Amino acid sequence: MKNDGLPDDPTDDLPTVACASRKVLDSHKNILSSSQYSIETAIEKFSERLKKLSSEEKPEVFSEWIAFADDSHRDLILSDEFAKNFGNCLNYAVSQMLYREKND
Amino acid sequence: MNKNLDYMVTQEMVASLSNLEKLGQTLDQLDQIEIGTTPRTAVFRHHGMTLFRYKNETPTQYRVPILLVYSLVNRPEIADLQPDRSLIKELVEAGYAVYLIDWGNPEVATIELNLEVYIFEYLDKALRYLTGISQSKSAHLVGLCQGGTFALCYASLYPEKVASLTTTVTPIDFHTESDVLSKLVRYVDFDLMTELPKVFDGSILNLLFLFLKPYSLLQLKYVKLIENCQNKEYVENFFRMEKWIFDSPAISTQTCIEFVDLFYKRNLLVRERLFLGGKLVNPSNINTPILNIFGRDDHLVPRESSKALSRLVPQNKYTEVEMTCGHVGVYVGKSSEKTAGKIIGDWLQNVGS
Repeated sequence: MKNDGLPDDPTDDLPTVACASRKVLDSHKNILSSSQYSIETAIEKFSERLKKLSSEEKPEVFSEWIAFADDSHRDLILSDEFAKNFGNCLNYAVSQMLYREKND
Repeated sequence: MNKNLDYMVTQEMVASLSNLEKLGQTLDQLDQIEIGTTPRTAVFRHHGMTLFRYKNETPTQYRVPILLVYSLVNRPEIADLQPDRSLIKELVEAGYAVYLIDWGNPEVATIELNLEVYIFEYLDKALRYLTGISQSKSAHLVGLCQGGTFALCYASLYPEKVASLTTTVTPIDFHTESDVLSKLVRYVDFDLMTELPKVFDGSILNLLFLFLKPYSLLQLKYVKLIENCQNKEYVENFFRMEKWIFDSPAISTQTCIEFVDLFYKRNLLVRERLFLGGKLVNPSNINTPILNIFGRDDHLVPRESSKALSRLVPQNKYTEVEMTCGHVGVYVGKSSEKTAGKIIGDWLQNVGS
């Protein structure tokens, strides 16, 4: 047994392993890029809000930023696309865990 | 404007940093942080489950006892977080005999756990014990979060054993637009999960809950702590809440999978197709008063999810109360005019208990 959890001779499993790995890597990449987009969207909306600040307003800047960031994050995780990627990553992690348990 | 913004940000940062060193001083003054301090005694055990009775300082004023049914996630101490924020203490002081089911640690349970065991074995046995020792043939069920879903199922199956049903921040319709948890599990392969060990670490779910609102729960919360670090009461309350949040009991994998599949994925309760123990769970069977309390800003159980109960039960039995707070705020928040304990106590009096 190698340290990476794969069998000594994984040749037979290669197509399956490659396919599953590709899928989860794509999902992981999508999660990262959509998270980055979510933060950029939050920054954009927060900047708009700041532009509209009147000179009398003295907002709690950090608290306001957090509200924008959480709202944007919420929009992200409510999307079907995110759920698919999340599901792929979680399913892969569980299958790897089970695989290791069986082969260790 | 940018110059002004820079100034405001700098001011906030300087204020926070200068407070940071004071936090240490306040922490030095703190005693041991304790939660769940209302005195109680274990009165009944069944496999891993324990039924607790809270101690009344004065004789109880009502014949029918209250049975609190908590969720499988986290611990019921949220209903007794501190003496001045305790749903349990309020109900005890209102003169009720208050009991709580502690589901116990699934790692040491002497029975194969699943949803039916929790409802037909644990909940039913606790209620039978209660009615056996009290002068009442039924009890007031008060469900907390997922425990409310369990209590609703039980009350639908055995309406004669339930004097009234109260649900608090309870998920009912799992497919509402803003239900993040339901959307996240849509593509999770639960057939795969059945091969996992029988019990899993509850802190995994905790991480999931933090992930739903990461900026508030992992950043703002701690900045607010620093801002308020000279306020001993604030700091104490903060650490009580932290103690509760990060103390997650292990969870039965089978029960979790069943709950997610039947409720989150297939939404069988509101589709009136949920069968437990071979029996249809039909909330319209409930012929006792029903109180439904939920939080306006709940991000875990959207208010629309809880409010769906009104469509399932007889209208003339149903009352709902929306509190202006989030999920745990229903139990510990101070923004609402009336606490959940007071709302439940007053309502029980009004409905003749």
